[in-house]
Amino acid sequence: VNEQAVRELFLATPLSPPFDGIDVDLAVRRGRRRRSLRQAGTGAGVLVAVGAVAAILFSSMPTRVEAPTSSTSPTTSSSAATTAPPSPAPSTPVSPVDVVAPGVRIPVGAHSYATISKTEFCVTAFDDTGAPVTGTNCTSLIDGNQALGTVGLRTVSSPKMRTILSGVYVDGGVPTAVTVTAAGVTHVATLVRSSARGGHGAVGFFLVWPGSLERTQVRDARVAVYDASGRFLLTM
Amino acid sequence: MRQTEEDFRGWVGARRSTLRATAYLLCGDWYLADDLVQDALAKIYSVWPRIAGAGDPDPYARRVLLNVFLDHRRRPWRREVTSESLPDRPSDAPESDAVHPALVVALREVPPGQRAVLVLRFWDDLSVEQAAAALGTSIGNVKSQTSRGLVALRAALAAQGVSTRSAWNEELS
Repeated sequence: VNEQAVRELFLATPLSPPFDGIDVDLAVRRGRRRRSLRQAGTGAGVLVAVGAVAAILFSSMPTRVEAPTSSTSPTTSSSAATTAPPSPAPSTPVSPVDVVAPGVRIPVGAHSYATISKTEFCVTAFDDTGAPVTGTNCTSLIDGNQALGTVGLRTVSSPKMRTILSGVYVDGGVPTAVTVTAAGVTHVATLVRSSARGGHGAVGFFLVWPGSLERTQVRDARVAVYDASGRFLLTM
Repeated sequence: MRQTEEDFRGWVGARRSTLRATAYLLCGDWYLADDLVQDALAKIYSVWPRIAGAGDPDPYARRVLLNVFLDHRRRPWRREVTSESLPDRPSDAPESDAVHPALVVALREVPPGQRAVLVLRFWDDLSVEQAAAALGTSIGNVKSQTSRGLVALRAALAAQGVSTRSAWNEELS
């Protein structure tokens, strides 16, 4: 093969990115976290094994969190939740947490990203070809449409894209985990806090659902918020 | 620690464009390319003192990027077919880079493993031995993947009506 001809073809191809989405600060933060986890893991193999078993038990458990008085909320808008009396959780989920400055993009799977500021939490979604799906999907943290101490849920998805479940938990304490249950399966969401708020106050969350969901399963999805002791703060 | 971070940022500043271009050629999409590079940079930073101390960090970085790309191809959600479209509040979103160079479009038709070999050999300009080391495979495998990849690339370019250099066509015939 005339390899030089192929090289020339590569060199002749214009590679001009339309934007620069690289965030070195985010890479450094995530790199530090990976290093910390790795260092912690090497010194606590037994604990990791126990934790892994607990995680498997939790993720495989068909959790159905019943809200005493609330009805299932529509999936296309923020919705209030009913506060449930604290009760012991079967295990203690822990969500990954990103504390970011306003405007910093947090990757939500491929293409898509989330941002959080003092005033709103947004998810901008693209399908697998890079085409925008729904534009920017924002939830205000301050307009009062979502009452204090409640959680909301939104979804974005398309035939070419996975489903992204996202929402906010507004000023109801300091949650350490948010789980979403749909189709009888529970997954732990990632929490997003704004450094502009000192990491307190409204907390965004997102979860890229690892599989297909029917419309009714999305509609019936439930959110549970846990505190550090693993107890339910509220459900939706 | 501060010096380590500054070194890393300096290296990213110097290699950023090349890493992004390599990722773009691998995946054919600038958005995804940035996601891949972002993931790779986090992994690289987590071991930066070790690889920077060993000398040239580029080969390790290239290998991490390749692994991130190949792992991404295997993620379960890529097989997902969903059926919902529930827009909440559309606003001005950045436009997709819908127009891609013919070579990038053609590379998408080449199987990922062969595509990775082609990008390493003809974009990063690695030798067969260096490409084998970057991919963690044998020299013979790189040679066969290169040959098959070039055939697939040529067919994909031809399907677009893109004429390639005569010398290349003759060699491939």
